[in-house]
Amino acid sequence: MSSARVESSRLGGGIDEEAVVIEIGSLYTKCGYSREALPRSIIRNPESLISLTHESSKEDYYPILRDFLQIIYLHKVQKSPKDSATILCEGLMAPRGLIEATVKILLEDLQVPILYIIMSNSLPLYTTGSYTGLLIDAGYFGVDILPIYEGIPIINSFVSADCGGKALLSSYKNILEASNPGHRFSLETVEDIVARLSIIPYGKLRKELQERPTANKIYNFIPLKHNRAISVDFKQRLIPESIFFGEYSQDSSNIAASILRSLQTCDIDTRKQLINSIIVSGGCAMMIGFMERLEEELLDLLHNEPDFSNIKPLADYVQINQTPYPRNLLTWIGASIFGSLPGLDRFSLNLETYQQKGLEDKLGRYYLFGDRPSLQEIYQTQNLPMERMRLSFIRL
Amino acid sequence: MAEQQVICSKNIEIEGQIAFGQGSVIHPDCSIIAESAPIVFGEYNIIEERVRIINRKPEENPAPLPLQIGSYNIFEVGTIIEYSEIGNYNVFEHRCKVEPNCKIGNGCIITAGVRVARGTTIPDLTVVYGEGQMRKNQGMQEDSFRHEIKALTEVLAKCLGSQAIQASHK
Amino acid sequence: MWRATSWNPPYIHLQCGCGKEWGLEDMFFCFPCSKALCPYCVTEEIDSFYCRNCMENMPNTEAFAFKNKCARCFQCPACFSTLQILLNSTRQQKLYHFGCQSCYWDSMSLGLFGNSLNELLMSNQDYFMKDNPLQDQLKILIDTYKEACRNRRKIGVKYLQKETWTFEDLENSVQPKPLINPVQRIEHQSPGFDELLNEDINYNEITSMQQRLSNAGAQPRELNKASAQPIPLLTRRSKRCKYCKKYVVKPETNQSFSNPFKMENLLVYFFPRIYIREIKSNSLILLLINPTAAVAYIRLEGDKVPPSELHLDSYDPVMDLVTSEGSSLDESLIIEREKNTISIEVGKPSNDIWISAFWKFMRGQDVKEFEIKIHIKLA
Repeated sequence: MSSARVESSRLGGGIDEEAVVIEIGSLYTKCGYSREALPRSIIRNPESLISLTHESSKEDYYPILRDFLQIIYLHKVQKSPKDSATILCEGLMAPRGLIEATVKILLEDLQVPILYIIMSNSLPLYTTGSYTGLLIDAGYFGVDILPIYEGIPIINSFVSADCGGKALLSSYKNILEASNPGHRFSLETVEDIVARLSIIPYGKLRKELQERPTANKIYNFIPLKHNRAISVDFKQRLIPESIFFGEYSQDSSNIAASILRSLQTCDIDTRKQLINSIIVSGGCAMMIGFMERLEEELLDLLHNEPDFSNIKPLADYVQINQTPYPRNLLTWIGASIFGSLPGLDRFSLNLETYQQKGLEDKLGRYYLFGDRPSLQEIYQTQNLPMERMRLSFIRL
Repeated sequence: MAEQQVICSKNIEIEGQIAFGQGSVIHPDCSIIAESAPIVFGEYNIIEERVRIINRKPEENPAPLPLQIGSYNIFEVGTIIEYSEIGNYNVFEHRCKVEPNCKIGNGCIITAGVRVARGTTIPDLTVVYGEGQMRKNQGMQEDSFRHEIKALTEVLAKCLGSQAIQASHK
Repeated sequence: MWRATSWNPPYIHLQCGCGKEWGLEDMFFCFPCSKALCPYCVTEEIDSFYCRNCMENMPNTEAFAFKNKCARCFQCPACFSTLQILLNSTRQQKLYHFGCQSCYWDSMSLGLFGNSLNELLMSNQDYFMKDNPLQDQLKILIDTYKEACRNRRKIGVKYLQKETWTFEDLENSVQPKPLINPVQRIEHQSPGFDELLNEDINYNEITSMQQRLSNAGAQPRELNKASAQPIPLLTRRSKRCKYCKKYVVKPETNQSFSNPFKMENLLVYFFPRIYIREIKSNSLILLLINPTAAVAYIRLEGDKVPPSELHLDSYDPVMDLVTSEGSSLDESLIIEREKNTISIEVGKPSNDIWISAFWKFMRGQDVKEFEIKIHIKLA
């Protein structure tokens, strides 16, 4: 009897009502309700929040987030924070100050009754319906690559490449300022130009570009939040290529190479399944040609590059998951699915616990608490160090 | 309203050489200043209150040319137009501002509060809105627009009639 | 965000009990606590929803069903102003369609029009009515994972009870096959070089990020494919004191009353408005205006302020009636007194002046008293 009761209580723990799901991204914040396919609102972060970095402390974040989160609750999701259980996504590479300030504001100031903090890097996997995948999050600060095998994030294969939206925008800004003397461009203006004009060459276009490298065409227009007309030439439309898919070498940035390097560190038996289910999320993946080029680069490197000759046979299995959802929202949608599954209690935090113990170590306890001994056994048989496993448990 | 008539209200500030085509209506309290070179209006232009149409001094406008404005244009309240080429059938909504050396085609709408930056060329049938974004003007029909303007001129002639003067091309 | 006062000096701010400084207009007054509260010391709750365009009220359940959007009003996909319903009568029949009066966007090209008003509204109701394929897919995913959770736990319990492990057990326990598999190969149909070079790009016909993200599901790249979105509702919110949980501001739910608030305890109504009248070399002339309906008392304490208690008369502008009181108090600080206004001269030790004010006023028969710190910052 008692064991049955335990089991049923463990089975429960999902939230009956819709919870508020908030993902504070580096550039855009998505918010909405769990069990819904799309966020209610996608808001651009205030400039002061975007400019903060990993070195910024909780105190730097607090005043900015205080107003921002209040707006999210009362004006965007339109629910009194007092009655809304909240799911908060926390990225592996997210600044510590951000999450500390957010939790403090949500629990102490806005008096959210219960908060669930979940790891955002694994969330896009939930939009595919499988347990295994090579997750690539092409975000603003960098490209995070995390293989997840049968529900376990393989943290020691986690790679964070520097070639994100920030690198693209800052180099694009320099190029624009050089070609349009006398103009100063804000981040938003550059982002607007990139979003509207740029294209990453792939397929036929890529081949033709190698044969005919020069082209003269100039586009004149007035970009958003800019008061004068500027000119952009044809070559400048193709700049993102060099940021994401540079020539392969040890130090140049190429997302495909980072993916393969991450894959090389994975266990040999898992590689085939991982490369068979590549899931790309993040705002950079919305660029025209990004997905196609990624697949081409993966195949090219596997076939031609001696560094990856040991995983060459994997070329037959390269497959990128197609999804009906927009790729820049995959993380939020994953959280929306996760929020409606049982067993969410494990990630919960309320004001009482927070005031007694503070915010736990980043992702520490919640992920340590794996109740799947069979999988722990697998880890031990693989002779992986226990510290790594500490971070490696994600419950489905 | 008789032919060859311009409805010209009191209290307007007119300076320099200015030519109006027939059926132009000039509301009170607007200023049309030709400092460097003449300003030439086509037919049936409606210039509302507090509009400023300026052809700047030679110091600010090194190569002064006559400011040519086509026919059937409406300049709504508070519009500021500096030296530019302006075609026909345009609507300048409230408080918009056209900076010098712009080229505005035919059938354009400059929506309220928009600033058209110096030296911009606006092609025919364009709506300029927001922060200078442009879009195609789909609803423009020249015939009906001309009728509307003429009808509006008739109405305005009655309202402002007492102040009307007989004006001809200078 | 909600600040009415400028944050550039010279300014006069009040310090809330929590230590933050605010303008007088931002603050509230809690009667049970006798305390001035800043916006951070009140908690907000949503009372009801309404549409900013048609002013229709929506109950909470209905608002949730319509995703906090108005079912009848739409916003322009290009400039986000509210769309008007226009009548196109140049054709043979009358056609109703949406049009933006700000940027002249038109719904005719999208096929959004109708012979009657209802037909037009129904044609754009798709947003709420149609079975969203993304939502359906999400339901499948949730069910799949829920089912898997259940199975997995059973497996876990089963293996827990085992003492010895075999290789098959391990294999079984990890379920190698994916649950559902929407994997497809991407088709590589790129534009050719010449095609891209000769492509006629109209920068303004491509959507900006904001225009894209306002339609989160489709995120169209071309502006002429962007469709009208329903406009988000606005909320009526009540505010409570963070300490005693009593209402500070409560909106009127019954629309037939002319007053939109049941209770509106803003500090502006109960604490004197303070202005700087003149800045002298070593002193400062302040103007205090009593907003209450009865004679009130203020005691100022500060670095170069002589301690004194002053009274402020009240003034009824409708009756043109001043209620005053004989001055039994020391009035040496007062330069001028007119109706409900007094001008006082205080010392100026530096450009950063802190003055404690003890304020006593009548509300009905009750006497309320509280202390607040005034921060005057000069350039």
